[in-house]
Amino acid sequence: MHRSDVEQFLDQHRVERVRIEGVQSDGLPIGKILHPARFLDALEAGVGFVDYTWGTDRVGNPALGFSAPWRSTVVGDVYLIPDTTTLRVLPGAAGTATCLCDAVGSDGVAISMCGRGAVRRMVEVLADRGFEAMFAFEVEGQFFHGTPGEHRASNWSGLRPFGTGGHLPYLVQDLHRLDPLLSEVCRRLDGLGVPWEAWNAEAAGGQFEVNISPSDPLQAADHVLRVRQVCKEVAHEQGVSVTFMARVTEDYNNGLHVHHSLRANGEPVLYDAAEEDRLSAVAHRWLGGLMSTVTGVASFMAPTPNSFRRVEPFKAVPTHATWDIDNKSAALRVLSASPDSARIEHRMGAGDLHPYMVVAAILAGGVAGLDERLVVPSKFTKMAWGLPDGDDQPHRLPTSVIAACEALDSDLRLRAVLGDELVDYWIGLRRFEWITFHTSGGDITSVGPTPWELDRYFETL
Amino acid sequence: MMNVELEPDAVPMVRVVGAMARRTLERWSGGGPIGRASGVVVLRSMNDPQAVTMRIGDGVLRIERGVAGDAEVIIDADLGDSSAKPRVEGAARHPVLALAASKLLDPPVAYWCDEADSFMRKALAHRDCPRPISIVCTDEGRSARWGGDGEPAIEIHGTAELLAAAMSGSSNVAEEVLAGRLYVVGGLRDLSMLTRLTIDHMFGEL
Repeated sequence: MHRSDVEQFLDQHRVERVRIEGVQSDGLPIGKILHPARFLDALEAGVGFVDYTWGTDRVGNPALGFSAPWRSTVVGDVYLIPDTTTLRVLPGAAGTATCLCDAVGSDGVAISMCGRGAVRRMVEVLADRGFEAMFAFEVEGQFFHGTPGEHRASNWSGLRPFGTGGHLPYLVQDLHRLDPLLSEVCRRLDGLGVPWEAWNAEAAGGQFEVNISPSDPLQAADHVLRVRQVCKEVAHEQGVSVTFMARVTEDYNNGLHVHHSLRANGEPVLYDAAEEDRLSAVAHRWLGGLMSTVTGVASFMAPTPNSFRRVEPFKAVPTHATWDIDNKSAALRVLSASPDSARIEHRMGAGDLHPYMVVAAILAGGVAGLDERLVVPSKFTKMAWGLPDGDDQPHRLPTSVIAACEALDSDLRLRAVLGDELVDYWIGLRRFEWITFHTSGGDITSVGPTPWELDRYFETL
Repeated sequence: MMNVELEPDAVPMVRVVGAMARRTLERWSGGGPIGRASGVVVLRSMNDPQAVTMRIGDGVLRIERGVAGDAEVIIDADLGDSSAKPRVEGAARHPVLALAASKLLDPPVAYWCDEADSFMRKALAHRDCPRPISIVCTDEGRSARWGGDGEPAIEIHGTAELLAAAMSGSSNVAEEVLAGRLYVVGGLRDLSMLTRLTIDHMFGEL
């Protein structure tokens, strides 16, 4: 949008303030409320945020042990530049608009840890090869009675989820109980232009899944940010709480499955009725890239120790590096029934993942497959859970933050496409999270999340 | 000769204990309680859920996370305060094992400048290590420099004891600085990279 169009938008909607929003290094939304005049000034110059916003952990501790050229030698600023294509009136907040932003350094270039910037770069890399991608997420979360403050005051004892907790997904009685919350969520998503398709109750009490229509990669990641934030706001206003932690209780997981497809000149290219599995040559190369990087990508799919609590067999989470046609135990579930529905579902994603980094990493893996004309390994047509160890079995996926870091560190394909700066910084942050978890109160040997873990993740995720 | 084996996918405390034991064993002559010990020792934090189990025997020290049910000696320690006296269970019945564990967990620390020399030899091989690095020992009024001439990218100031602990991998430079026990002159970026290298040193991975 040109500045004059933005001015017109602000006038037309009687906007009295604009909430600009970006994401910090863990994918948590950050922002400021701007006067409309300041927002207009920010369209070119941006708004300064202290750079350690991208250099602390999720509770504000300085995360030392790694660095990047975009960070000041001491402490400086990073600037959020509004992307006016995302400017919307904020439903439920009269006179307020919201606008997503890119994080740039003093040179005006997106910093490596700007998630939106990373996706933009990968989209360009893909476009250089003549393709565009579409992504869609399945966002799972969980509503609980009571506010986060009340939970913290009771040291997280007696978390009471909405719904029956009857261990069955799709129960209509749970739809009814969740409806006051999710109807309001969906109404606001409509206002924000987030194309939600459906929502349903999931197996755990208070657990839900929101399905979002396919969009271009950047918008798709934006939509995850919007869904999470809207759920938080609705929960706050209704005196309840919501979290997207990968595991909140002992029994159930929140995942974030990622679907994507590939197109050229607007036409789907993964499908070919004449080829094996109805997958085109491009699809085979793309899958070859995804499979060659599936272990390295795990760090993006499961960023915290809490993410790895869900990596268990028979819990709808992949445990081995596998792909197959319509096999939900595989890491990559490929659907190839028709040209328009042909897509790949990455099933490793945990509820707490950084959506932009995941999109960027998936695209980087696929691009490596195209560039190197990689051959996809044989599909795994059996159940990919409960497998024995052995050279003739698929590799196990990482089961800890540090193992995932080591896999990413040695993934030269992801490094080549994503860039060393992003990869090294990401690994540094993850390693810091792992050290903090283990040395300041986390307990990975406990059956479920401990109060320390809930304190750290429940409210921010 | 004793080999140190860590569990797969080792947690930080397993790595730290493994590094401490290796440092002890580097200067071990082969006899004494370490040579005679056999059994299972647990080191457990008094302040948080961290714990490791050390299995000693047949020339191998195997270290894994958690509290083993067959532990013969259990040491409860304040991991944040090395001067605090640990509480030890089972030492009366297994004195050699307890003594061997205490030696493995308490590697000798050399003079700060020698520890720094040893650390810098490895650290400066890393491409992102800040350089030059200067260390100023405040209670001796002495300083030393590594990584070339010119203005130091970073200076570390502290007492001989704290410097020796930091340079030997017994403490974390960033934590010491944030706690006000060590002081730095330099940039956050360089402190960050130096922290990475000292943590690698603590884990025995530098």
